[in-house]
Amino acid sequence: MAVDASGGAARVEAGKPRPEAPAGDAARRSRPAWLVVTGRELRDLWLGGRALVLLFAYSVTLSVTTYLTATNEALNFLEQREAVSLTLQVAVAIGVLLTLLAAADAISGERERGSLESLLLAPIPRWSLTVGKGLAALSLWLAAFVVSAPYVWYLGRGVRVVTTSLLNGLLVGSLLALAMTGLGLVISTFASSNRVSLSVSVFVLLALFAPTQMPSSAQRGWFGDLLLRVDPFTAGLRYLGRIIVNARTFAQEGHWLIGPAIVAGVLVVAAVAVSTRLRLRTGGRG
Amino acid sequence: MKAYLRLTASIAVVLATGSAPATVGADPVAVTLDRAEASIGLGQTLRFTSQVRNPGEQDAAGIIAHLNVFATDPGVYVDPEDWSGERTQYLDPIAGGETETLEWELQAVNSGRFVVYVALSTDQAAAPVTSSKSLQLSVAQERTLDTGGAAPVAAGVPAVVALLMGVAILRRRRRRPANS
Repeated sequence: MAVDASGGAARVEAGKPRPEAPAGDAARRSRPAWLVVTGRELRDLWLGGRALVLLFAYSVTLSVTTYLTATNEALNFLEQREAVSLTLQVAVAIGVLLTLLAAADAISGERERGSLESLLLAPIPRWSLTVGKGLAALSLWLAAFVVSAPYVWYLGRGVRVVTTSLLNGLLVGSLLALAMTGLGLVISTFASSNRVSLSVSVFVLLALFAPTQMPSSAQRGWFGDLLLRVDPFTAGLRYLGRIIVNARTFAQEGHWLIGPAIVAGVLVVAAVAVSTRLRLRTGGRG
Repeated sequence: MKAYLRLTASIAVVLATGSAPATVGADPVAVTLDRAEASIGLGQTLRFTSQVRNPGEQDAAGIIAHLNVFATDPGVYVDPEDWSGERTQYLDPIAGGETETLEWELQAVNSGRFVVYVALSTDQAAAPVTSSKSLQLSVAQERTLDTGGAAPVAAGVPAVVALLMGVAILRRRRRRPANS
């Protein structure tokens, strides 16, 4: 994607911008730059087909999880609330992974495709590029959440946890998606190539998942408790489990979301802050 | 001199017996459950309490309570770790005549008839083990989900996303210039 010098946006194909209608240009000039960037990124992501392919793989994964939960005897012992909790946690975790992949590709992808130069030459603030690309990446999580809704409805309709699950899944998933978008953008800004950006992002994501697999004995003590609360995935998924399986309320378990909220805020601010350091690599392709 | 030694020995005995906490072995501590039987469905959670009473006059310290479960049917395999993630509780000293209530939670992962009980002991060698009376647990086999309804959802959602992909591909082809 490229943004032209007039502040409007123009698609670049094979290095040549396609002329757009004058009326459209006038309308775009009145819009904030970050909104123009967001619109272009959303079109590239969704109409380009990349997001739909990821979403298709996501829906297949959720289908397999839901079908196994409902039919496999080894998994069917789960109480219905646990089945909802398991599926929702898988939906949130993979939905957030999609967001991270899109964010990690945002800057380093442009750099690798050689289109970052034209982006940086546009007379718009650097932060608007980061915000626009971040919002487009977040759209993947929102779409993933919509896709997960039928599965949650099917599993939870008999035990009256559908609304609670969807609302809390949206809350936790949005916090985690914000955090991963910030993380992906920061890594993408400094990464020399798309491969490095994606590798580091996925590695960090796996490291963040690690505390969720710790045995309960390792979770005792002040350090174990601190780790559980600071790690956004562990805290967020634990909150979901307690709300859905144990029928607790936000007032009782909301403290688990303090860590994810702080991490999300810090990473988003960091992503916007490092966008001022966004520049071409010496001798690079942009 | 002998009187002095006798007095010193007497003080030592009093101090030793007065300061040393009573244990399960020294003064048996009793444990009772809040129910004798329960019935739940497969996958459901049973919550119950046990009362640990120190009938003696001295503190009972170092008591460890442990929850256990086994099946009455020899053909049913039970792994207690699957039933409860926290089966051991380390108790604070219980004063003489006092009672402490412990909360337990276990999830039925097998159907059938089971025996649940709580045992008490200490970390000392050859310490006696005190057990509660058994709780007879009946777990009914129940299928909570309609397996027939899973297929339409599992197949339908990816189909809708695939349809959207097809529409996006068609739209892209129509917009592509004829010479490209």
